[in-house]
Amino acid sequence: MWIAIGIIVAVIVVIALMFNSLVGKKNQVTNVFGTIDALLKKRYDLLPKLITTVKEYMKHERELLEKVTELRAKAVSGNLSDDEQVDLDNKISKMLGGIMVAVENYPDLKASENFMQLQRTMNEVEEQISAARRAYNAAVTDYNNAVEMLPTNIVAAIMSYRTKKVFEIPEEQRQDIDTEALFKK
Amino acid sequence: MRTLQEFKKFCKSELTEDIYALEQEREGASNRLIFMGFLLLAGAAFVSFCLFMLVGSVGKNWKMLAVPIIAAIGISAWISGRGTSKYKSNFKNQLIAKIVRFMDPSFFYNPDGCVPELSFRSCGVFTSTPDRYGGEDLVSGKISSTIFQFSEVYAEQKIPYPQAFLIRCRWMPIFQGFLFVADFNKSFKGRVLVLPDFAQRLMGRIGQSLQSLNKPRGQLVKLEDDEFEKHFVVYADDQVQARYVLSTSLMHRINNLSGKWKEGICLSFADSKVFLVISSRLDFLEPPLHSTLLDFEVLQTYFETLQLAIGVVKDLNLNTRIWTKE
Repeated sequence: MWIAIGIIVAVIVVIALMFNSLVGKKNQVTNVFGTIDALLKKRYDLLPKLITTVKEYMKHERELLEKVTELRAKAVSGNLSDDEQVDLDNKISKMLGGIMVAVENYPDLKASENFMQLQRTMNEVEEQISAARRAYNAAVTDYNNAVEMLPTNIVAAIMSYRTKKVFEIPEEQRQDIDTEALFKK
Repeated sequence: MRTLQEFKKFCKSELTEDIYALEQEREGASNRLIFMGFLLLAGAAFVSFCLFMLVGSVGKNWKMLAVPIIAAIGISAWISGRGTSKYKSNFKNQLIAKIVRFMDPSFFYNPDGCVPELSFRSCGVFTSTPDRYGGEDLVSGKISSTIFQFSEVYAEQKIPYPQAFLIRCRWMPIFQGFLFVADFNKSFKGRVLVLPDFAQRLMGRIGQSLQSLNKPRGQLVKLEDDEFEKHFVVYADDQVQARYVLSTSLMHRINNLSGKWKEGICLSFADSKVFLVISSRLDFLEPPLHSTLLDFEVLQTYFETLQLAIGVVKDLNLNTRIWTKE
């Protein structure tokens, strides 16, 4: 009888550990997503400064700058789902890349102290966002492994945990930036 | 960075006099040591023989007979240290100092100095606090925007143990080897440790699971670079900061750097600095005693050692300053 009680207790302990492990991994995913959110906010706060600094010089890229302003306004409106947020973030990232390439055509702007300081800050924020995305993907991979692999997948099925998607760049955004087309705009 | 050809020309034009003078000192020191060694061993053998004749048989008394020989070896080693100290001092102050200035005239070399103990403690690679700390061959300077310094260091901890009614102490080594500190090109908070990964290499996923239990080191960080993960385990205070510091290109560079140092490397990133730690019993910039200084290959090893150490700044791309830290 004692052996049976011991086995039952051991099974309960193992299930509890698996439950806690799954919850911990889910929370880690949420935590890192929150960090990405905070970093994106930092980037959105920098965008108006960037637009103001470059628009006096970059007369030919007005359309691009207006598009970025529009996307930024949408991003800070706060009415977006997680997937919409990610999609918007990817679009803004691509456009920012386009602006930085176009800046090469304006040596006065490149040499301006204001712009150089802003560029460093943006580089830092972009690098931190990239790091946060990598951390998010690692957390999601860890969580997905626990949801799909034995024996934690049994507990995950009971708790209705589903796999999550990692951050991916959409196919159209994996193409190289067409700098010639950008200059023509 | 200087080339080997430039160093060869430099040795011929600037170091010839020093090399010949030091070679004479070396020969004198080496001959004196060999002579003293033979003399002491002969004396010890004679004393042992006399004791053997007095005692009558070896048997249980072999320890008594070995004492004079062991004492002779000990005295030889002591005399060796004292007898070569002048040669060693001249070698470092004349030859090594000139080689360091050849690498870059702005570099500073102190043969008796070492990386400060505060840096050693703050790197976080070692969990023990040293009770004794020292080192030698400090080289410091600035390459473009990066301030750096490196030296040989040793650190020991005093371990008390009871013996009869007394408390005695013995010295336990914490570390002996090479420590390199440089300004990192990003500002960040917290600490990231990059340690050699034995557990994963030996035990795969089980090893990785065991590593995650090492809580005092911080959170285990699993990274995307397979080659990097095979050789290193990373602990950090924050998962995002760890990836901010260890970009994919930096991981690739660390892999390459690791291949250059056969002793294996540890890295730590803390206080916006990078620490490179290499454990080794070898003395990097010590003068040769029983091989000639006139052989260029001997000098070449000093040049290559310094080149390797200074090259860490370039290897880790520390002069790329495109973020807010200048």
